[in-house]
Amino acid sequence: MPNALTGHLRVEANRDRCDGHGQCLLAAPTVFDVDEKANKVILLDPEPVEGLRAAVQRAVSMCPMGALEIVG
Amino acid sequence: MTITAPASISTHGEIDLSARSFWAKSAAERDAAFVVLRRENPVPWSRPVESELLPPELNTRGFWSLTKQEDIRAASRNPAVFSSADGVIMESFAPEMTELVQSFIAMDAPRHTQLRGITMDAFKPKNMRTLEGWIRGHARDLVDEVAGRGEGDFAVLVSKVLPARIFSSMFGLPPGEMNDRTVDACQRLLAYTDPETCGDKSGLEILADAMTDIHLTAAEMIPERRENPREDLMSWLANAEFDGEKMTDDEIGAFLVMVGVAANDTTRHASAQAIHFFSQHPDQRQLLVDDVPGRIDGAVEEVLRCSHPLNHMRRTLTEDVVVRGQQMLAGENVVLWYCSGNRDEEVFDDPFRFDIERSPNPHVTFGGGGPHYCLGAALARTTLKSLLSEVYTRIPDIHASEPDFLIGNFSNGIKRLPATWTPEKPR
Ligand code: HEM
Ligand code: SF4
Repeated sequence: MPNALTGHLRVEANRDRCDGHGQCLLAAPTVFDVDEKANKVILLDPEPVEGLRAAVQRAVSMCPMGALEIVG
Repeated sequence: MTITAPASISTHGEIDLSARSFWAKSAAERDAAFVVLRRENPVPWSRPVESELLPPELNTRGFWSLTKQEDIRAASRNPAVFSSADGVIMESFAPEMTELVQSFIAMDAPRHTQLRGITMDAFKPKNMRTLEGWIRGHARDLVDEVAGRGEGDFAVLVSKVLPARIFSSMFGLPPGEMNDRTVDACQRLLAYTDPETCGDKSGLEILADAMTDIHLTAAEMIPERRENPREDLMSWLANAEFDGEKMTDDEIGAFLVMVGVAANDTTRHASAQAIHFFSQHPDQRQLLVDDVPGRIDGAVEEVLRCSHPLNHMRRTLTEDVVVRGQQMLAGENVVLWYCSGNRDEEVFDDPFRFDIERSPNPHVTFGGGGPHYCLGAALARTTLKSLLSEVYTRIPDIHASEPDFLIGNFSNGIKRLPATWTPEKPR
């Protein structure tokens, strides 16, 4: 339960699933970006602060490929 | 033309997705039918849809329906089996027509990838973030124009206008007659299912007239944009080359038809539906108004889930497949019902509640993922966020009680939305 101790979430991105649609960076721009060349998601911040939970959860739902997950 | 269908050829019991009369029912009645389908017969077969676009002798193909979100997503992500090349609307068009109106939305790789690629950069979410200020400016100007009136038809004065201004500006359509004709055509092309819009014309005439108007615009603009390319999407289209070949006028025309309709006839319905939902749910309106910046993103997602401006897309099978025990054959049509996926009890708690704080909210309003996922999703989200932020900050008590819905199986639209609000004091 790292978030209880540190006040941070843990986010994972599955780059094989990602299609570069980029909706995630619209929802949580400090956490996600898209690598223009590879057209794949980049995790700018794999352990965002708890205060970003709602935005990160929105990014997870907005991803059309189910490539993102909050794991802790 | 009245068709009295014996119960045996309906979709399931009393439910007949092929009937025009089904799509003239209220949203609540249609939703209730999809609840039954999801529970009792989630992959049903239906007879050919009652169509005005094809003569009966050509309208012979029935269709399968996917009503569960999981199946919609799986099909969307498997384009090799669920092909778009034969058209993506439940009512098939004649093949020549498909070519002139559907462009890359009705293509498979590799051509799909090439054509989608031409304008993809412009619609990238990253660019949308840069454009956000510009879009917000358009929303602010438009609300400036109406906020002092205190009443008016929101669908006509606002919903239709904002996406049109953004589209025209991105494609470089000069203000004036040609622009107005093009936008009007983009806004009426899909209304071929609506008896009022058709008047004494046939659905096919409505579609063909609108298509011709847009192709004319392309033909007028292409030579000029080849001569003097500018920083607009018409210039990108006119000058794009694949293997040394530019696109033909027909191909560019079809591109403009498809993207023009996608841009002008979707977001507008979502924003009108938003005002309608918030009028029906004053508690949710108050929640938003109390903290617009903090709640607008969730509100936009819930508006998108509940409004699903496009009810469906269609695919055609390239090989035999089995879904939930149902055998489907190569060559058969399969319709992906986003309206049903967005209410799937296995995905959403209390799916019929309008709840702007819903989390998670994995709707399929822009499609189930895969290569055809809506190119304009980021633009639509940003536009709705800007417009609804302006409205619920400046004229927060806006109320509309009598929406006039478009009738049809494809667009889930609102034609007119008379509304009242406390006029904003001149600033
Ligand atoms: C709320 C507004 C909108 C909704 C509900 C919507 C919905 C959709 C859906 C369901 C698809 C098909 C997805 C699939 O087959 O998997 C689609 C495709 C598309 N949309 Fe949107 N859309 C909206 C706004 C826009 C806007 C503003 C544009 C502006 C350009 C746009 C451009 C496109 C294009 C070009 C495609 C075809 C993509 C392809 O086949 O590769 N859409 N949209
Ligand atoms: S939204 Fe999903 S598919 Fe799109 S870039 Fe982000 S992770 Fe990838």
